[in-house]
Order: sequence, then C-alpha cells, then structure tokens
Amino acid sequence: MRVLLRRIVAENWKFEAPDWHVDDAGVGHAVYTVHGPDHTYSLVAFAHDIPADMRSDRVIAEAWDTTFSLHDGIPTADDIERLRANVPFQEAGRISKKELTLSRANRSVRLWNYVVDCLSRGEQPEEEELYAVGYLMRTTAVYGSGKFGAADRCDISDRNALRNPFQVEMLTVYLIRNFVMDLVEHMARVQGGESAVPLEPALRRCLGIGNSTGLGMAPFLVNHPALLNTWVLARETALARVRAVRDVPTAVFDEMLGHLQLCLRNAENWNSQHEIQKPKVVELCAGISDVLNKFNDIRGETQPWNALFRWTEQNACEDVQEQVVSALLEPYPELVDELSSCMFIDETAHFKLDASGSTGLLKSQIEQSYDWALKIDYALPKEHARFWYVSEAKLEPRLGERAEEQGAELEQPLAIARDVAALYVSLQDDQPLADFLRNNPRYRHIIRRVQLSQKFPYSEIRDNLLEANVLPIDMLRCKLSFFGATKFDPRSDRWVRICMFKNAPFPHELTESDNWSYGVLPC
Amino acid sequence: MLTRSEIFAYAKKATRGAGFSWGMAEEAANATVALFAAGHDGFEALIPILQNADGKAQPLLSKNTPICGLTLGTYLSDCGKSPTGEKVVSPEILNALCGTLDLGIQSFPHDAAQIVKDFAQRTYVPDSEESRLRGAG
Repeated sequence: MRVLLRRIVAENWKFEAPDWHVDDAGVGHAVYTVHGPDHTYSLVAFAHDIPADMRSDRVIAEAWDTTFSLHDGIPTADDIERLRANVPFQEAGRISKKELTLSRANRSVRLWNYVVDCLSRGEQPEEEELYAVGYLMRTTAVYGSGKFGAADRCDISDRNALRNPFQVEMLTVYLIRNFVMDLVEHMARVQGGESAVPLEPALRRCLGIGNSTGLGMAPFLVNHPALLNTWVLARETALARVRAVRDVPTAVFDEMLGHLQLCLRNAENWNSQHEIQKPKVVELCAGISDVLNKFNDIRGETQPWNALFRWTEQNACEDVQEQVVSALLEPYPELVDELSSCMFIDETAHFKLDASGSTGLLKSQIEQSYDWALKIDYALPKEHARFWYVSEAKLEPRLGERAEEQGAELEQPLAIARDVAALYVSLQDDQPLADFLRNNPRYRHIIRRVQLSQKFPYSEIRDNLLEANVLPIDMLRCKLSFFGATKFDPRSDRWVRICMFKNAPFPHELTESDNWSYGVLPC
Repeated sequence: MLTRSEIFAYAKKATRGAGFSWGMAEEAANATVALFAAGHDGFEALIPILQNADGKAQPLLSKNTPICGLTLGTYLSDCGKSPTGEKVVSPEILNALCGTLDLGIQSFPHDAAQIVKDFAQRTYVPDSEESRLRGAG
C-alpha cells in the first residue's frame, strides 16, 4: 500500500473528481479516474440495494452492496454499460482485457447505519465507534491477473507502476475507499437534507477498507516460490541494513521510540474475538511494553538496533519480534524504500528444469535445503492429517481431513515437505536426472522446486502444510502483511479479516511523509 | 476471450485430469499457451494427448505406440535435444516443447473445448455439506 502511495506522490498523479451517478436510494454508479505519468486508470463502482439476507462474506455469495472494476484508461459509455451487465454478477460475469481487477464489498451494517445517522443529523460519530470496527465496508475479493477475463499480469507488468505484483489491486482498494466515503456522505445528505454534514477529516482518515480473506489466498505463497523469495529477501535485506547502523542521533532514537509507542497503541486497539488471536494480542502489548522499558539501555550500544533486535529475539514472542522489526525499518526510508523495487520477478524465466545434472546432485541439494522436511515422520497420522483440494462447486481451494473426507486422491500439489521426502527416498542410484525424470514424472513438480530453492533461499514455507494443526491463517497473514495490512483478525483457522489503508491520506492529503501505518501520535 | 492465465489453468487441470503428474501438467500448460501465442489452436493440439493418456498407467514411455508427444517432448527438452522425426501423438505439443513453432498472430480462444473442461473437471472434489460447513472462503 505504501509503495503505491509513495509512487503516487513522487509522480504527482492527478485524481479527477468522481463522475457521480448514484441516486437517492443509493443505487447507481460512479467513476473515479486517476492519471499517472504514462497511464490512466478508472475505478468503475456500482452501488446496489440488496436484501439483508443476501449479504455474505463467503465466496459463495451472489449479491453485494457494491461491486467494482478497475478499467485501464477512461471508460466510454459503452464500457460502463458492458461493465454494468457483468460486474454486479462478479464470478458469474465477464470483464475484458481493458479491465485490470474485479472486486466487491459489503457494508459493516451497524457502523454504516450509525455513521449515516450521525452525519444526517449534523453530528459526528464517536471516534471509539469508528476505531472498534475500522471500516465502513469490507471487500470479500479483489481479483486481478487474468481472472474472469481481466488483463493478464504479463500484459501490464512492464509498466513501472505495476511491476510489483498486486499494485493494481492496491490501487483498486485505495479508490474503493474514496468511493465508500463519498457514498456514506451521499446517503447522509439524502437522509438529512440540509442538516447533514460531511465526516470530519480526522475521522474520515481513521477509516480504512476491511477485507475478508479465506483459504483461496493461502496456496498463492506455495505456488509462487520465486516471488515469495523476493519479498522475504527484501525484508531481510532491509532489516540487515538497519541492524548495521552504527551512529544513531538522539532525534532518531526519539523517532524510533515514537514508532514503538504507536505500535503499542495499535496493539491496544486491536480487537479480536478469536481464541487464537486474543492471547497473542495480550502478549504483544506486554512484549512491546517490555521493549519500551528496555529502550534506554540500548542507547549506549555501538549498533543499538542490532542490540535491540537481539534482545527482542531472546526475550520476546514471535509477534513482538515481528512488530519490532517493522518498527526498526520506519526511521530509515533512505536505507529501506528502494528495496521495494526488488519485490517482483519474472517467474516464467525460472520455469525450465535443468535436467543436465545427476540424481546425486539433486540428493545433495535436498539435504542442503530441505533438512527440515526430511526430519518429519510422514507415517504418523497427524503429519498427513489434512489435504488441499479444489472444490467443484466454487473452484476454490479448500482444506480437507484426510481420514474423514472424500477426495484425498485429488490432492493439490501443496504437500511440499512430504513430496520432497518421498523424492529423497526414491533417489537410490546415481543416474542422469533426465532419465530419472522420464521414469518418474510424478516427482517432476517437486524437482522443479528443489532446483528453485538453490537460487532462491527464501522460496519455501519451511513447515508441513498437511499437519493436523496447520493454521492457514498464518499463510494468509504472511501474504497480507506484505501488502501492509493491519488489524489482523482471524474468524476461524482458515479465514481472516484485516483493514487496509486505515490512517492513509486521501488524495488531497498526500504528502511525502508516508508514516501512516499506525496513525500519528497525539500531541 | 480467455486470458493467458485461464488457458494455462484449463490446460494444466485437464492434463492432470487425464492422469499425468502435476509437473507434466505444467509442461503441457506452458506448451498449450505457447501454441495459442504463436497463432495455433493449443487446445486442439492438447486434446489427443489427453485422450491418448486417458486410462493408461503413467509414465507413457515409448512402448506405447504412437509415442505421447508430451512425454517425448518433455524428455527431449530435458536432454536439450530436438525432435527426431518419430511419429507421435500431437506433433504440435512436441514442437512446442522441444522444436520450433511456425509463428503466427496470437489468437486466444473464446472458451475452452468441452472435452478440455471435462478432463479439468476430474481434478475437482465434489462439494459436500461437511466441507462447506468447515468454512472455506
């Protein structure tokens, strides 16, 4: 998210006033156009009036409060009519190569009604009410990359602004946020007439766009090993650069302290009802407090951030460690920001297997990179308790219980650890790899991965994704955190709500400072 | 019109559905996309591969006649070799994998052939109320 907004500021993108066609019942469409230096993009937003019993976050839903498509350029009247006939139906409709994304969002009903009510009476909503939810609408899918007819990723990845994956999706959500704010104020004006007021800028700013994400996103990290490597490598490089800093002026110490305090406030305002997440948030708050108490002790160290990192690593839980790492990067945009330009890769260039070697070489590669996978005893029921499959009804990834459900023979190739271990056992005699591949095509996908892992050290999730207690939400969280999402709120072991662009500046508020992720400290 | 990623997904699933391994399915999907990108009908080229493999034990080695173009093409590609002129099922797929393609203008189809969809369908697990209740996405 911040990569996108930094670019928008640096390149001085121009946002047009919305082309607004929403009626008093809240039904219609609006177009939000933004001009970059080389390309223009338009969010085409449709607002609907749906019965309450049709509102669902599940992928099986068939109607939504709002539906969207990001159009490549400025849509003609014909484009808008074409989209009106398709976008409201989402997966059942069809968009074209002139579109980059397809998305939809539902209201947070209680907060939506409350805000419309307040504004229509000329009053501002209570900040605590807004904070508790964090958004007026949440998206339940943002499809791109050739889905449902949209432009393929390779058609747009040569554009500077879109080279990093998911930048069109981020732009879509950013423009959706603008639309949602305009829509809530529109409905307040309809209800309250002249007594209605707009939302105060500070309150507006603290609202983001929610997002419900389910299992469908989890296999992405496994299916894109080379890309995962670039993301993690960028993050590890950023951390290494900051840990190496020797001279830290007092002002930077104070800034870092401020960031950690914001992290603490963010954690204190982190509402989750989930049994897994609740104790983690408590532990996170306590852990950040400990870090703050420790903070003055590290001021005298030669590499103070390295000392802080080491101390946290030894004394705090993983959530605190990750939070501290995120905070450490904040005061150093000059060391860190440029790394975002390394967070993409042409995966097709790394598709071809190198079969010129021998199985002996492959075996040593496995020993070197997959020792973690070879340690697991896959004969134990708990180590292969789950299986990943694609459901016929919605063509969506699901996770099944091997012992209880049908369909394990149709397992998706996500059992990386188990398959590597099976491959390793089958590598008895040293022979040309091409011959082994010809006689054992079932290992072809996993051999491709082993070879990728030699070039890309961070390409694998080093865990058993079939294990009885595997938490898909951890995979979702990993991906979403690279988007810059906050307020991670699991709703089960396999779907999660988050908030995007919370505290982010609106187009007229964009400045070069982009430290908005955790809000600003009260004066 | 189908997108590149949709063609890839259909071809990969259909090849898997016909009994090939996931790794071979990836090779077939790449070849199918390459054929469409070069102006050929990639699905028409893939269908005989699927029909020939259907019901047979993998791997489809040279004792099966004629030779599977996907199996031979992948092997030759692995060895860095070109086609040897043998009679194969789907010379188009073979050439896409290890030979040369006549380059035409990229033309993506409006939809996948029903038979490709039917093979792809075999990779899906029928929905059960139990799996829905477990809460997917």
